[in-house]
Amino acid sequence: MQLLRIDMTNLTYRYEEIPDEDLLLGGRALTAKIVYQEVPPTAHPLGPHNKLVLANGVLTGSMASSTDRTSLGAKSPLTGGTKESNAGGIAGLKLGRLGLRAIIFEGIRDDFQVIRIHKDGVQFEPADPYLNQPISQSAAKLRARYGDHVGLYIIGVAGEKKMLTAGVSNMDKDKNPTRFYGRGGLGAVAGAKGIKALILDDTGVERNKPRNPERFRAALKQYNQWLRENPGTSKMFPELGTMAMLDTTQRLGALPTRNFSTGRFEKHEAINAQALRETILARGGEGTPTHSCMPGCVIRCSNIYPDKEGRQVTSPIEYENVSLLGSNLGIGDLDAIVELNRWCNEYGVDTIETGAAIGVAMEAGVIPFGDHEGALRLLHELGQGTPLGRIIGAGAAMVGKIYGIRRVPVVKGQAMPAYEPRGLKGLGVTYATSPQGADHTAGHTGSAKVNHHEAKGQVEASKNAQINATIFDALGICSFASGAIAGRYDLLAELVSGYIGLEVTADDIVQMAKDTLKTEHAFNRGAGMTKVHDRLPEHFYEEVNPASQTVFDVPNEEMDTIGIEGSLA
Amino acid sequence: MKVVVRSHLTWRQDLSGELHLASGVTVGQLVQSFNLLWGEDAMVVVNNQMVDESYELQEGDQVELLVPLVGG
Repeated sequence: MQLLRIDMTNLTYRYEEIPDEDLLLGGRALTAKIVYQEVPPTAHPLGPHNKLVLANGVLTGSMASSTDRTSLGAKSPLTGGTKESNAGGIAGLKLGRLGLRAIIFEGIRDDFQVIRIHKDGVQFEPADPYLNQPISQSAAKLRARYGDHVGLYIIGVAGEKKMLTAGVSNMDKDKNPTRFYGRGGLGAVAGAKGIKALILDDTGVERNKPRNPERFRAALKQYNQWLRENPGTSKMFPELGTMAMLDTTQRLGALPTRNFSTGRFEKHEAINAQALRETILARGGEGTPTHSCMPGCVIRCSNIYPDKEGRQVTSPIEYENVSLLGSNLGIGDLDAIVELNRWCNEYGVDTIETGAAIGVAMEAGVIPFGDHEGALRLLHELGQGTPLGRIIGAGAAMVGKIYGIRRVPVVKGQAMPAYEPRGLKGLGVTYATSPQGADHTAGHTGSAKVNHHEAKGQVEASKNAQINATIFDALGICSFASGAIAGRYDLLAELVSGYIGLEVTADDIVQMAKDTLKTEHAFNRGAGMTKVHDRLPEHFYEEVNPASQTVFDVPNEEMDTIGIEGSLA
Repeated sequence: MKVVVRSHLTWRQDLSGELHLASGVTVGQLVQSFNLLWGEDAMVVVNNQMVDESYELQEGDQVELLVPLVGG
């Protein structure tokens, strides 16, 4: 297994061998370590000293279901701290086949390049034909140029313009370039390095094989059985996708609505899982309510949303999209939300950050809540790079500063995802204390045995969830498998041992996750963060969420026990 | 004692309906009797309020089984 280091300033590269003892480091664990060891915490995120790290999970490429995730890491221009964002799709599979655990991009440049990696090395080509256009268009041109079989990472115009909402995308198994490493503005870091696209060409390379096939197969059999037995992974996600969350958050008063001012949306039945499924099935054609982003995934939480003529509009439509671009904006029309989602994908921006930014703009009166045409107009301004578009493209915190709005749903500069923290307090603890900023995937407490409206037990729930999330992110396993697998670390240890051929225990895996969190907090301390940054915006502590009838009241002193100065740091 | 159960779990619609229970039964015991894991297989609300597993069910209670929040 190798690591590839690419100098974007000089367009040179070199391979480095990864010693066997480091093979348990993958995904988020590896990006965190490299960022900590190689990026000065005071570096400008868009400057020459920041590095962009692409790292496969330990199990990525193993062909176990739901394990093909890849992490992208760097110092974030949005949070100012360490950042990891991960996605499914097929590029991780290609990266693994090329014998690579990770790629480190160094340096910066003013023009844009397409970087093609193949079995014999690396090629660079000017990216001019692919600039300043929707991602679907540039991705199609790249496939035509480099072949339909390649894996692809790509940024959109937002990344080219180095906007803080910019993400990096890759393709699902059906070549839709809509699987985003959305959070933290990492598309802007790629843009600063002149990386328009990365092509992974695995022609002539054999598929990965486990080093201990018998041990791996035995563990895989149990793993698949648990995925099949669990109602979430075998029934809920295949039927309803992530949209199944919406009715529950609505009931809890935790569905972000009109800039997180409340947790229930009066038009929720027009945009919930049932409405989405019925719309897709009624329109038929290219649409489907059940779809997988990764080959061989049994969970299949994705979908393809068709227009009224049955033609594909975009894929997927997920709970986060529908909440942040729907209820959070007061928009109760699925087609309108899907259109906003599509253009977020085309411009290459994070739907969470962009939805939150437009929500703050609506609170400021730039356009009224519910104005989907106005929201689309703002999005197109972002794509054109107008001054107003650049303000939206700079994220929710920046919109709040520029328009003098104090109710801004961010932590460490990053927008909250679709769980209102007064209605689901454990998530509020994760938003506050995670080194990643407000991020539900950093430690989801939704299945913890706590009363989500009370403060009691939330810190412990968040702590356990943060360790669990780090394990999944490091191994490359989709968090949606967690319902079936979480806590069963002995099985994960067997899978890993069989795949990488080392003796790995459950304790090793948990320790690896704890070490990763410590590394991330250490980087953030070096970047100037303190426990002052481990807080929600003050209005969440003082103003009642009318839907849940709660304020956020988890004591700061208790949160500090797991924050940047606590036991996980 | 009669309670009303409404299941939002599309794969367990069979659980919806009226139930007659002995007094003193907790909502945790009820959920367990459905062969569901609290929090992991279902999120539970009684009379529109979040409750703990130890909540003792009362005559006329409305128990809702919601899709668990496991991410998304």
